[in-house]
Amino acid sequence: MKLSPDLIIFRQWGDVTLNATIVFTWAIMAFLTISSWIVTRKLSSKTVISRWQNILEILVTWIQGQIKAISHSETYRYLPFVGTLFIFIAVSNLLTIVPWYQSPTGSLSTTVALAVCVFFATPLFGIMEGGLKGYFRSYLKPTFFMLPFNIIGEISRTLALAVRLFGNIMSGSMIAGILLSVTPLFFPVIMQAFGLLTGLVQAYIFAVLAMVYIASAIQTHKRKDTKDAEH
Amino acid sequence: MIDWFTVCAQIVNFLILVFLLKRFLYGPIIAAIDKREEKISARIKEVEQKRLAAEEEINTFRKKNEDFELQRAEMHAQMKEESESEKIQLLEKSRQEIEDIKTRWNESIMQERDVFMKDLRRRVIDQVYAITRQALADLAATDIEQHIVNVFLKKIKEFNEAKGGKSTHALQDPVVTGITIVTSFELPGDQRDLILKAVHGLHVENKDVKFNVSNDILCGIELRGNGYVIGWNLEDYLNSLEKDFNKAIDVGAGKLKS
Repeated sequence: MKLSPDLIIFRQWGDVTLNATIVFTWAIMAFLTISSWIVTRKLSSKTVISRWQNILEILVTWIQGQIKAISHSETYRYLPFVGTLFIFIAVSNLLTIVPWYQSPTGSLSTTVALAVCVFFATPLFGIMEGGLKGYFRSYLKPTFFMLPFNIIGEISRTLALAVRLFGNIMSGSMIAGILLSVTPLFFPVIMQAFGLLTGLVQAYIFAVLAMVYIASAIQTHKRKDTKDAEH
Repeated sequence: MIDWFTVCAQIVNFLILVFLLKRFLYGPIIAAIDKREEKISARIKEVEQKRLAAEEEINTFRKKNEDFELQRAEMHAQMKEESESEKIQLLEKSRQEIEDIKTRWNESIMQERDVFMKDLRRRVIDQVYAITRQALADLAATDIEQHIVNVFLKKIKEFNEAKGGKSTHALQDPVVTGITIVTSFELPGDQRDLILKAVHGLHVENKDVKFNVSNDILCGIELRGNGYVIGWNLEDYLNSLEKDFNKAIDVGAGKLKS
């Protein structure tokens, strides 16, 4: 049993390897893109809409609602990034019920990649909201001496984000594998079903945490604006 | 455990996925939602506008109704007043017409009465005259004209006696240029002489005496001079008779009026 889909290698050209993580990621990307295109090519702005459009609208508005609840902002700026995080992780995890499927989120490389994306997206959105100077000034708050701690905090939370998702998904697969060898009939099914739930929860947690980090970056600027307005 | 090539590839994959989903999922869905919300809000706005327009229309119609009601009441009052006035006018007109008819009727009665009286008088005179003539002819073998002349002569005599035979009286006034003897019939010569003699007895020898036959006198003879009249005329009796008739007719008409 392989702990990570990175170890399932289909092709290798030197350092370039085509492993299961990348292949299944492409599959998920193709699935999401094609299904989205099929549904959204015949979108209706009337009051009567198709079932699939309705589902997608519910999903998108729910994600936007979560973003709004965290960021207290009406903007759609964070929706593609945070929404894609949630949808990609959720679909990756839910598809574990498919035989021979290897979830890309079970690979530390994928979770690190996603965490790196969050790591860079957080200051990017912060800078977009409050400008370069305004964002980096937040690292000196409350005092200059807090700069190293702020940087460490930034890195450690990104690391925690990556490891948390990887650990949960990998552990799910691990538990299922172990139980399959111990009690092959009944428990793996329950654990698999339980894995679907934890997969969704993890997707939600990852997306929400990413949004919380982004929100904390933009809130610093917003607080400054509010104080200026008060003065 | 971490394959850095895979990490890089996954970062690129994720960014591509973000772009693709933005292009095929979030963008169209958000656009459709926004468009629908826009439509709904436009519809709500339209409904609100229609509601306001309807309210305005209701108010307009309500006001029109009130105005109409007011106008109706005014017209009703005006019509009532006009009909009342018309009724009074018609009543007045009817009363006036009745009054006119009554007046015309009275006038007609009066005219008929006058005609009747004239006719009656003429007939009565003729009858009286004829009866008297016949009676006098039968009784005294003389005609009524002779009798009239006799009465006239008697009256002159009475006048002369009443003046006490004085030579001064109205007929002797120098203003009186002449004396006219007016009769309803032609006087024979002997009677004219008798009359002239009687007139001269009034000491008016210097006055010119004329004889004249006139229809003014129905049946009689009169001496006229300076507005002074001596004579006898059956008309006096007839006038008295007419007066009595008129009185009787008036009493009858009074009974009719009541």
